[in-house]
Parts: sequence; structure tokens; C-alpha cells
Amino acid sequence: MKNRKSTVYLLLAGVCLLIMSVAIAYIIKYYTDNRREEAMYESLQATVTGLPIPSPSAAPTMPPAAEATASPKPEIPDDEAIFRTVDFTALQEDTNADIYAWIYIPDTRIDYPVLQHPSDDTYYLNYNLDGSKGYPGCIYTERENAKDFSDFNTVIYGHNMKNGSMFHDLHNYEDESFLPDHSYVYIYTPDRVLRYRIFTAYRYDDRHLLYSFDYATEEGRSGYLSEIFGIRSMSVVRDDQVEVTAGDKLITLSTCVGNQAENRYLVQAVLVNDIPVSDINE
Amino acid sequence: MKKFFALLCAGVMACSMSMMAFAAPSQTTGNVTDNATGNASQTTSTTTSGSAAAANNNGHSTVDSVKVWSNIVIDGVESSNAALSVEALPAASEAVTAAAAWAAANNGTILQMVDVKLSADFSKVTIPFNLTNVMQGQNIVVLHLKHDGQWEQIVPDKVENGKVTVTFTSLSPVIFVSLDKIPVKAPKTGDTSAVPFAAATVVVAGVGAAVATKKFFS
Repeated sequence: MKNRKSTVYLLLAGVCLLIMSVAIAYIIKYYTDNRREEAMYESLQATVTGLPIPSPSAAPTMPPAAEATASPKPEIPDDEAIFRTVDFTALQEDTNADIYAWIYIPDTRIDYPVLQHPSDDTYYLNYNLDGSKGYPGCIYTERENAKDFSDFNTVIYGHNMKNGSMFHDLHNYEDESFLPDHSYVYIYTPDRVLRYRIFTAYRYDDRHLLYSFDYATEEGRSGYLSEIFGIRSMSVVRDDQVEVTAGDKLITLSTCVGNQAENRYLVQAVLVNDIPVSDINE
Repeated sequence: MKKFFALLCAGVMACSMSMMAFAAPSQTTGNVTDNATGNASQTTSTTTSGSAAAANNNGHSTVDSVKVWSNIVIDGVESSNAALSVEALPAASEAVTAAAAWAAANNGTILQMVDVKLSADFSKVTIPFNLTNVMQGQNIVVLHLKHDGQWEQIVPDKVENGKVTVTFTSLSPVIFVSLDKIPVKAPKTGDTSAVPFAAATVVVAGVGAAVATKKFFS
């Protein structure tokens, strides 16, 4: 009798140890994978360099005749973030050919390449920059959005990672005091730098923004703006000084809300500066 | 012994309550619309996205959302689209019923059903339709009811954002069907890793192993 009991205890201990080992292995793998992807993003972020900001006196002067004939160049704001340069050729050749833009919000961890898969819209939700499957995935857009950010509403997705990476820091905007000092989003493309001003951040339902609204007509776009400006909830943070019309270009940064699978946290910004890279490099 | 098993069972139950953590991460392709229910009037109303059809006196509807983008091309010559009329098909028509059945059989979604007429002679006409919900690269098939009562499947010349360009050899009821499944929900971008569950499992299994080992040696 005692021998049988001993055998049961021994088996039980073995099973428990096995379960414990599997669970520990899972945890180690999760953190190792995450660390590997973070290291990759950090190495890419290190390649994004800043150009010196030109002083007004150092601006090149044109002869009067040339001034008269040249098309007016967009004004370049005195903003350090605009003068960052991204080597897209190297990124596409060495890291991932689907990288087509870079997103940056100062004072947050949001400083990542933006990808778009040519055939599978959900690919980069579950796959990493190096093609491995799992978290944290990539910051990405869907094929419905043009890669030149010319659509009325370009929706950019990223995971709300528990370790604070990817789009986790969008939730900083839930604190009203965060927006005034962090109101710009920068998108870098191979030929342009786009500066967007954030006008609202709020919790929304999980409907697909690109299929649920009609952006093809001015009436549809106005209706969508009425919808988002009509939202009244505790989660809404808004900058009333920013005017948004149906003719503007928006980006919507979308991520999840904690354990609320049916909700998304959206940060929306309107294009305020569209600067050719050639003008910045001059 | 009873206490030990009770503790172990409680631990297993507590762990199994959080089994949802094992759910596959972020599968959004399952969230799709499939409007091919056979109810033609329903599919029309759900795909016009706010541009409601207005009934006129003869029982037909003028479809606001289906307009022609620009000039049409008749037998290779660009012409005004003034001679073209585009009207919604009556929901009760045979054409609509047949189209709904075809769409259902092919897992398709009916985007729009219209009766297109051209008051000019032609052997080939190319028409750029404005379909606001259509996206570039979407797999669209155009069903065309020929005069002999047979359905013809036409692959559009071009599918762009909000625009489907189709060439016809005759005109009559035309049905636009999307063979793509359209996601209705945004991608799930939460971090649903099972790390908390795994950590709890480590603790429970560790305690279980310790107690069992102690009992074994006692």
C-alpha cells in the first residue's frame, strides 16, 4: 500500500516538474524573442540620423530672377524631428523589402519602420521584421491605403505590447496633459517628410475604419468627421485648435485597449506639413 | 492527502479558468462579411453606405452611389455619358434572385445591382462605374444578363479605388459581385501572450512538485 502511494507521489512530482519546465521554457522563449526583435528595432533606430538644423541666416539666397520663376517651396518648420534622415534603400535591401515609411513620435518609444505586405493585410500583425512568427509584429498599413499617404484616412496598426513597445505609448494620450507637448507625428518616406498634428485620441469600437465609412466622396468624408467630432465619452482627448476638413489628409494610429477585445484606441492626426526631402537636404 | 488533492484540483481549476490565454493571436481574417444571403434587397441596402436609393414613380430606383466616372468609350471613340442611364434593379426581379443565388454559391458579396441602358447603337462599350466601396485589387466579377437570358461573367478591365471599368457587348441588368471577403473588424492588436498564465502554472506546478516530493520521502 505504502509503495503504491509512493509511486503516485513520484509520478505526481514528475508531472508537476514537467509542466513547470514547459511553462518556464515558454516564458523564456517569449522574452528571448521579444528581446531579439527589440534589439533589431533598436539597431534600426540607431541608423536614423539627424541633419543639422539650418539657421535662417545660412539659408541659401537666390538671385531675383530665379526667385521670380521658381515655384514657392513649402516652409520648413524649425523642428528637429523633420531633419532626421532614414536610409530606405538600406532598410529595404538589408532588413525587409516591405518597409516603405518610418513613423516617429518624439518622447515616446514610437520610432519604427512602417510596412505593407503586398498580398496579405494581416501578415505583419503576426510576423516580425525578420519573417519570424510571433510578437511584437510590425507597424503596418493595409493595401487599401496608398503608400504615399495620399488617402483621406491612412490607418496605421501596431500592437499594444505589455513591455511598452510598438504602439503601447499611444495610450499616453489618455492623459489630457500629454497631448499639448506631444502633438506631432512624423512620417518619413523616401522622398518626403510628412508632419501631422494630433487633433484627437479616443477609445472606439472595433469596426474596420477603411470599410465602414465612405471616404470616396466629400459628403462621406464630412460625415466621418462629424462622427468622430460627435463622440462624447470620458476617453476623448481633443485639441480644439486644430481645424480638420473633408479635404485634409489624416492618419489614424490604431492599437488595442488592454483586455477589451472589442475596443481600439485611436490617435488621429491631420497633415500640416508635406516637405520634399530634397528641400530638407539643401 | 485529501487536502493535497483538493489544493491541486483548485490549482488546476484556477489555471483552466484562464485557458482563453491560449487563444490564437489576432486572427482577423475570420471576421468577414458574407452578404450573399439570397436576400437581394438587403445586400443592396447594406452596400450603398448611406447613399440611399430614392424610389421614383415607375417603381425603379435611381442609384446614387453608382454613377459613371467620366466619359464612356463606344466602339473605341470617347463619348459623353449623357446617353447612359443607370437604375437600380427592382428587388423582386428574376435577375436579382438569380444573381443572389450565384453569389451565394460562389461565396461572393453583391456590391450593386443595376440596369444599364445606352440610347445609342454600339458593338462594344466601355463604362467606368463609380462604386464607392470598391478597393484597388479587389476581386470583382460582373454578372451580365444577356438578351438570350444567359448570364455572362465579365472580368472588369480595371478595378481601382471606387472605380470599376467594364467593357460590354450588350447592355441589360448588371450585377457587381466581390469574391473577396471584406473584414468588418479592425485587426486585433492586443498582446495576448500567455505569459501570466505560464507564470501561474510555474507556481502551481512548483508547489505541487514540492508537496509531492515531500510526501514521497515522508
